[in-house]
Amino acid sequence: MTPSESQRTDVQLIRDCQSHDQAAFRYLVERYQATAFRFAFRLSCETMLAEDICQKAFLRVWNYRLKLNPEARFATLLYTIVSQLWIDETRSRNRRPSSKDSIDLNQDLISNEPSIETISHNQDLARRIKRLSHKLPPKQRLVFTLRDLEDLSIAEVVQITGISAGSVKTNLSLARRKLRQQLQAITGIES
Amino acid sequence: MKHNKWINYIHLLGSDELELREQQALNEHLKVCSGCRAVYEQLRLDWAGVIGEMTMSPHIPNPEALTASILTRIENMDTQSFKHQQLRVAKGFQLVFHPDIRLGLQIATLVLLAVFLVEQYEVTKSVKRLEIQMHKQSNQAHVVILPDRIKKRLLVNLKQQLDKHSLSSKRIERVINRLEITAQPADFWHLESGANEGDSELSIFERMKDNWRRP
Repeated sequence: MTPSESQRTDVQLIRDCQSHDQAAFRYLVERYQATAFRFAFRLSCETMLAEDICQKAFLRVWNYRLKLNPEARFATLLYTIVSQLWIDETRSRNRRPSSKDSIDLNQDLISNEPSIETISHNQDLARRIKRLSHKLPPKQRLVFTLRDLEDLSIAEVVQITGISAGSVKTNLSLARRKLRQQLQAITGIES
Repeated sequence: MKHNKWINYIHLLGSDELELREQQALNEHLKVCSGCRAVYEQLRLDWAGVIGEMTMSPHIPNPEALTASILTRIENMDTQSFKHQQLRVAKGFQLVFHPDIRLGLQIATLVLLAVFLVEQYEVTKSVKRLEIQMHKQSNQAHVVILPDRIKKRLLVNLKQQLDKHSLSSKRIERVINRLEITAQPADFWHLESGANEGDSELSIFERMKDNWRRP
C-alpha cells in the first residue's frame, strides 16, 4: 500500500467497494487479513483452516458489500463473520468424524510453502493454546478468545456473538475457571 | 485447613466471581498471610504467562499469496455468476423453442387474439351507440342553454297564458321544465307568437309540444 492509500479510512474503502472497486477491496484485505487470520488461528489452531476461514470471510464481505454500513466498525464485522464460519466448521466436523484435529506438518507445507520457522512457530502456539483450551466448549472458547486474547470489550463481544452481556460474563467466568484448573493440572500447583 | 477458603477465593478472584466484600476480605487477608500471598502471586504469574503465550500472534505463511487467492476467488465467483446467468438465459430459450411448448404458445396466442378481436368489436359497437346517443343529446342539450332574456320572455308569456287557466304554479313550473329539455331554440319565437288568449291549457300544451318537436 502506498502512503496515500494507507491513509484512506475504512469508511472510504467500504464505500469504494460498494462501487465495485476491487482495488479498494484489496487494500481492505491487506489491512485486515492478519487480524482475521490470527483470530481464526486462535480458534481453530490449524494454519490451513485459518487461511480457509480467512478467505471465506473476505468473500462474504465482498458478496454482501452493498448491505454494509460504511460507518460501522469493519473489524467487528470481520470478527463476527470469522466466528460464524468457525462455528459452522466445528459443527460440520462434529457431524463427520475425522482426524483433522491433529496438527499436520505436511498440510502446512503443501498449502503455501511456508518457511520452517513459520510452521514451527504456528505449531508451537497451537500446541500451547490447545493444551489449555481443548476442553472448552465452542461458546466459552469463542468468548474467552475474543475477550482475553483479542482484548475486545464485553460490549463488542456481545455484538459479535449475539448473546447477552450476562451470558458473555458467565461463559467467560467458566472458561477462565477451566483454564486455571487446566493450568493447575499442568503446572502441579496445589491448593 | 482454614486457608482453603482463601485459596478458593484466590481462584475465584481470577475469574471475576468474587463479590466486592469478599474481594476486600481477601485483600485484607493477603496483607497478613504470606502463604496465601505466595499462592496468589504464583497463580498470577502463571496466568500472565499463559495469556502471554496464547496472545502470541501466529504467522501468516504467505500474506501476498493469501490476498491474491482471495481476489482470484472473487474474480472466479463473478465470472461464474455471469456464466450461470447466461446459462439460465440459454435454458430459457431452449424451453421456449421446444416443439410442445411452441405449439402450446401458438394456440394460446390464437385464443388471446380471438378474445382481443371480440373485445374490440364490442367496444366499437358501444362507442358507436354512445356517439349516436350523444349526438341526439347534444342537439337536445343545446336548447337547454337559452339566453336568459328569451327564457324570461318565454316564462312570462307562458305563465300569463297558463294563469288564465288557473293552473297551479307547480304545474306551470313542470311544464316549463319539460319544455326546456325538449325545445328547439328556433321555435321559441314561434311559440311566443303562437299563444292566444283564451286557449285552453291542453291546447296550449299540445301546441307547444308539437312546435317544439319540430326540428
